[in-house]
Amino acid sequence: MTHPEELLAPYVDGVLDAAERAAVEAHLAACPRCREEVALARRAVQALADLTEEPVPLGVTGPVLAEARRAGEPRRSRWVPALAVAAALALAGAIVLPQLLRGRPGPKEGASATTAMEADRGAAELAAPAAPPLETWDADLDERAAKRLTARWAPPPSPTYAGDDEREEALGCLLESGAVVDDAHELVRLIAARYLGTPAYVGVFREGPGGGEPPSKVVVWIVASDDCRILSLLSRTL
Amino acid sequence: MAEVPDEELVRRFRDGDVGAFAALVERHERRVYNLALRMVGREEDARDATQDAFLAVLRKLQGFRGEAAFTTWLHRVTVNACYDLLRRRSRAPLPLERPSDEGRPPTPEPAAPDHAERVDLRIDVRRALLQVPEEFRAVLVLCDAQDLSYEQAAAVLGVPVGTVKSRLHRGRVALGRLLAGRERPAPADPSEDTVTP
Repeated sequence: MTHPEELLAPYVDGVLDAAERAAVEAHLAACPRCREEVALARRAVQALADLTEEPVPLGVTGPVLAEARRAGEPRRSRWVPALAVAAALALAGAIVLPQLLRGRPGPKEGASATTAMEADRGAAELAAPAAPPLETWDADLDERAAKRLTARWAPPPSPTYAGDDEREEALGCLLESGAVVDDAHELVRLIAARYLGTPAYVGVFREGPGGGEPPSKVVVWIVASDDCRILSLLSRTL
Repeated sequence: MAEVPDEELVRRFRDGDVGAFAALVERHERRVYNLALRMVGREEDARDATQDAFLAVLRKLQGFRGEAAFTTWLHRVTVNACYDLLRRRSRAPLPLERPSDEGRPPTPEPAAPDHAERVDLRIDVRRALLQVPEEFRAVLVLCDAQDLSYEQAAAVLGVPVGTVKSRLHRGRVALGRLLAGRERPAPADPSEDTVTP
């Protein structure tokens, strides 16, 4: 027996014309398999119709809109991003940034005393996990390399680190592109490299619900170092 | 007041009006997110797929020539973002979380029993949907959850209308069976490694 595969969905939806409907019903009368399928299909249709629309969680489209704003602007000269960075830094607030720049003495890190002590020394950033230094990599990353960053934490064998000015600029660029640094979005790694040939800053974040809860995912932001536009955004659920 | 058509907002964005893009996002984010949620299951993954989809829209909008309706194109971009995400996550199948645990205040008083039932049913449907093969699932979600016509779904997926109709039926039967199986003790299925508690 051939089964009227293409007619059964429209039959369940009630959109067949009278002749087609009569033909399907004649078939159903003789075909237990299709009768069972129609009953299952009706059940599925009902279940899907009963699904409620979920609201969009916060923070989903914000980075996209930030990226659109950047794309909509003409390419800027070097000093304009510097102003924008200053604005972003101001926006980020007097709390977050000094913490980032000095090494955050947070209750989360067991080594907070060490961190605070080392903040007085020049090498603060190197030791404080809450305030990563800017690693400079002579490397051209691709998507595969970026994905590896979501999984691997160890620095390269002989890392070199940039000075404070460039590090501040990298931070500002990430913030300007829409990245957030706070209790729920911990910046764990900051890298200057190239991404598909474009000079780029890479921020690796651990994100979670905040409030001392463990992070639930790793997010890698890659932004162009000249105008802070987003080049890639990857995440991996932990 | 008549709503500005999507295609007009696209044109304005191409002319440099970033607000027009924001309006498009605001208008469609709910559809996109819910489509993604039903395609990928986990809320976390749906957030990522939604973001990926809109970033792809942003990148490709300059090249969007309006040969398809914007919504058709948007659905296609979203479905593709979901497929990509599912590929990336293919090694980690879903312990689908129950909703409402994190970040939301506890229900102030015991919820009405029918509310609890509805929440459970919704999770069951979402979990079951994820076991429907992807090619059927996309049609099923587009037609029966997002209420696209057969013709629109065909345009989104780039397949003939007849294919949509037969896949839709197959997808419904698969989902119906999965839902029916949940009421009776499910037959032992060694291929299913996501254990339903």
